[in-house]
Amino acid sequence: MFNRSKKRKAISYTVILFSSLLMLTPLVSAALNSLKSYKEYTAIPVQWIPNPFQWQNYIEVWKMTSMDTYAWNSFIVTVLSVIGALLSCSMVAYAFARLEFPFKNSLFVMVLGTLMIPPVVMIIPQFMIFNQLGLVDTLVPLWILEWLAQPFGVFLMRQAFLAIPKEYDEAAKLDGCNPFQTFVKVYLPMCKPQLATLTIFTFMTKWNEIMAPVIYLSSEDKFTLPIGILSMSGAWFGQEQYLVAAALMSLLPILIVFLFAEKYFVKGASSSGLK
Amino acid sequence: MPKLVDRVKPLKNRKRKKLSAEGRWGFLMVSPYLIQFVVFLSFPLAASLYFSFSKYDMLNAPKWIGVENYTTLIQDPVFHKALWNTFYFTILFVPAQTILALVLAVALNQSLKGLKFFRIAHFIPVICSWTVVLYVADAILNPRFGLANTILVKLGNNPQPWLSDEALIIPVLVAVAVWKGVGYMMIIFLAGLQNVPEDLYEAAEIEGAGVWKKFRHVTVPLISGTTFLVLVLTTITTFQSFEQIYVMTSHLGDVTSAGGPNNASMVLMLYLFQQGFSFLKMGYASAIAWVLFIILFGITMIQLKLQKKWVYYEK
Amino acid sequence: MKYSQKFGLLLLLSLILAFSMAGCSNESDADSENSDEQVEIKLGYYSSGSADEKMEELIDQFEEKHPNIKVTTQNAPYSQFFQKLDTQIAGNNAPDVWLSDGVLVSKYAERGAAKDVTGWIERDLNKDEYYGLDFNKDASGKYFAVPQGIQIGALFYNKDMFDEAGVDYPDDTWTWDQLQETAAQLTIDANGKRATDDGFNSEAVNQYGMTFFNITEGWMPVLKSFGGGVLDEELKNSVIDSEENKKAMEWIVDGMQKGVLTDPSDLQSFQSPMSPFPSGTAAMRIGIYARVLAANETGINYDVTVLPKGPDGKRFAPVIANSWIVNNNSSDEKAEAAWEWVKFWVTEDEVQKEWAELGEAVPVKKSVANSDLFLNSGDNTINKQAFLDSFEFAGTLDTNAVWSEWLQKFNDNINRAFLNETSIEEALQQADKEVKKVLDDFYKE
Repeated sequence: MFNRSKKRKAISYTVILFSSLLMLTPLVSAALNSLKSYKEYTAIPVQWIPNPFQWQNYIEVWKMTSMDTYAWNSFIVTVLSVIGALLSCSMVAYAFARLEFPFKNSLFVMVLGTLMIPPVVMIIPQFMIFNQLGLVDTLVPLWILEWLAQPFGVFLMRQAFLAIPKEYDEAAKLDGCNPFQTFVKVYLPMCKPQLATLTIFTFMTKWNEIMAPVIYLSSEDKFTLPIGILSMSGAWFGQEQYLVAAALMSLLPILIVFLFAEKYFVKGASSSGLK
Repeated sequence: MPKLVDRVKPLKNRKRKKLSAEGRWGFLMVSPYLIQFVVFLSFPLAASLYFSFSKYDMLNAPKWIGVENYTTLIQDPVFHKALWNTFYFTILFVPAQTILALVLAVALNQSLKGLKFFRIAHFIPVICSWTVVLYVADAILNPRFGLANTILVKLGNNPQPWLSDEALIIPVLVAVAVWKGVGYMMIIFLAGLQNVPEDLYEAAEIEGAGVWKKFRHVTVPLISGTTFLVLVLTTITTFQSFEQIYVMTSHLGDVTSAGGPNNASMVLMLYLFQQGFSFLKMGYASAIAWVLFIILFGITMIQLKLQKKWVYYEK
Repeated sequence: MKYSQKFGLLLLLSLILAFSMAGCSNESDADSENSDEQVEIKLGYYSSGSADEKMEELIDQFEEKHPNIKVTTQNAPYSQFFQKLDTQIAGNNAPDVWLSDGVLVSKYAERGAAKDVTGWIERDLNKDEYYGLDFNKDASGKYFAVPQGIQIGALFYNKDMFDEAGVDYPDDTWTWDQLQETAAQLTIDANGKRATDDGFNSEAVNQYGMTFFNITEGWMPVLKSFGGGVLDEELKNSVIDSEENKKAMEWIVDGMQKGVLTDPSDLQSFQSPMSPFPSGTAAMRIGIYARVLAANETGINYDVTVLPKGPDGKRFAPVIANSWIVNNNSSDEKAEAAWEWVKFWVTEDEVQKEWAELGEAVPVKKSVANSDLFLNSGDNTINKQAFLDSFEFAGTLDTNAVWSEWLQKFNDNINRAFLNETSIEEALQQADKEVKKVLDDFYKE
């Protein structure tokens, strides 16, 4: 048995090392590209290692663009979205999973249905609504919908609540908790992995979103990072290594946040409520 | 917290019909969704359904034309191509990503040295936006300076045009999408795997189960809920993928230039976007959206039927 | 307890937010009425780097001159700008005056979004003093836009590469055939062999004779000077399937096969299809005026001349008149104020000069364009007169209301011919069929 687990580890290591290599090579190559001069960038045969490392590419990009503003906007949108999604989705999902109320099933079918509606269908009418509310060219349309329980999160959290044995419910009821208290005290703590998943998911979607910012934002000082970078393409003909530098620079803030949050996600995932 | 309840109650309690306390709580707790449903879903949906039966260029009022948009759609060769490409992309992408993610999650779900590094390595692509991926992918796929062709030529093969080759473009885009997405899915699986109680494995080991048997009879049933969710969601989002193809196949962010060469990477959402926003055929675009919706609805219903067969829930 | 109270509060908050959002929608419309004198107009333009600052400056000057008009601006990068503009027109929230890409003027004019400014032009402008007004004229002689700056195509060439190959610079006597012969001498493969040498490898080109991309800086000038084109005079019918187009296409495909012209897959190597010339990977290009900026920035040693003649001596310079459009849905008061801005832009010498200094576009006002300020501005003195001379044989890109849509169909088909996946005849026939359908869908009710 000891041997078997050793063998398993060896296989695992090989698989993971190989796949990590595949994951990182493109990033490293791009990072090297971002540090080249244009001559080196377009040299044939390819010159892999820049000589010297042109760190000033990054300084130039920083000077020429409003990267800090873009990052701040992305941050605001993402954080507000994550908070909204966690609160609203779990609450709604709990009601669907554990409470009995009229029209529950038909409502839930609608949730599933809306999950399948291509968001683009609703862009124009939704734009008209936000326009009426005077919220166009603000960050609000980018996060407010997350506070109103998006179907993905509801679905995810409902699956999680369904997997929890019903006995917990009854125990809480005997303690005199109302459904809301049961939800907060009993159910939520047991679903940390799913909450973590939802956090990651919302974080990713919002941080990388391109379509909605393109439609709702027009002033450059409201741009989020992805469209900020996109708006630079074509800005530097014959200096494309700057574009690579700009793109990688836009990655830095989220990378830092991720490296910190990583710990939390792991903890959330490992301290599961199920025994 | 009686005070809060008192404050909230009158809002929802207009109907004198008796609702049980649980029913009241139920409605109260789904209220965010109800608001969204009425304001941001029902109205937009009704509007877009109406558009799909109209000629609507956004700049002038919609004009009712009956089912013409739908009949045109049936005969539109680019729509057929987009439909096929969307299926092709999804069928390559979903299984490839799911299987790889599961393999990686299982491999990572143990005490390995450098575990954290591996997890981070796989997750960095996930946090890249598609605009970042564009430049990262170029380091590999650039026909002249890219790593892929450099290696091919070193091995004595012909360099490939990657993103400008009609036959290669979808598989290449899928590979890039897997590269970007597999880490995220791996984390979901990992969270699911860590929910599997260790004592179940121990019990299985005492009964003499090997790696495969443990995987098949302990791991798979216990993460089937997660897997199902992941499958449904990836299928749905893949069917609607737009950003990757827009960013990676367009010139200078011009939507009308995306989807090439010769529509080889045209997918439904991109076609919809082009028709609607670039060519101002919002009615036609809405019709595409509704067809897309019907297809997705069908696929999801099939998946839900299958769910009963293989997803295991703890009683 | 603490948790649930927080949750309850947040729930309340979200309810209140939702209701107050529904409530406040009526208020926002009210404040537009209390304007006795002051008019506020929204001006939209797409950004182009350093030009934005200058634009803001000019707007400040305008406000100083017209104290009763207040201008708010909306700007965004090119593709975002137009995507948003369409949504805004739909939501009746579009700027009162906006800068339109020249190729998109008909899109807005023919759909009723652009105001007919014929009367104002007759009243306020002396038409002979300006370049390009007529490029925005529709078939019935109405004007829907006024040029902001003109882009016109000429031949750019890299002097160093010509010197190195020991060939003469291009001049106004050149034909397209001559261009291709010279381009072959300027094309060099990875082994240093020229396209005129034996053993030249057209699959691994390091320096192209000429870069060739898309419509304006690619096939349209060739097609037109060979006597072909895409649409008829009326701009409502396709004339794609013609002998002239076939000849022109043969010229292009021939050049691409020899590796002398960049084909669509060659351009895939560059982050931007505009890169080969400024980065010194191509010896020639067809370029609109704005390309001067990129070429100056990378510091290559280049000059410009007029585009070559076709086989029958016909010339064609593609023109894009980027223009101010006044919103057709704006109130009369705002539209008048918006026109003041347009007038300010084209008539004021100061404005024209300051804009010309940026080197973004050929100035609209002829007196400014023909002055030293334009012709000899910048450190790099190139033959800018070539751009002005080109107005004699300039034409639009067959722009109409469905321009971007037929262009996509056309490109899809001829790109296949460029990549040798289909024959020229088939590509043109198929393009003809598809473009016809696009045109009929829109124009034949």
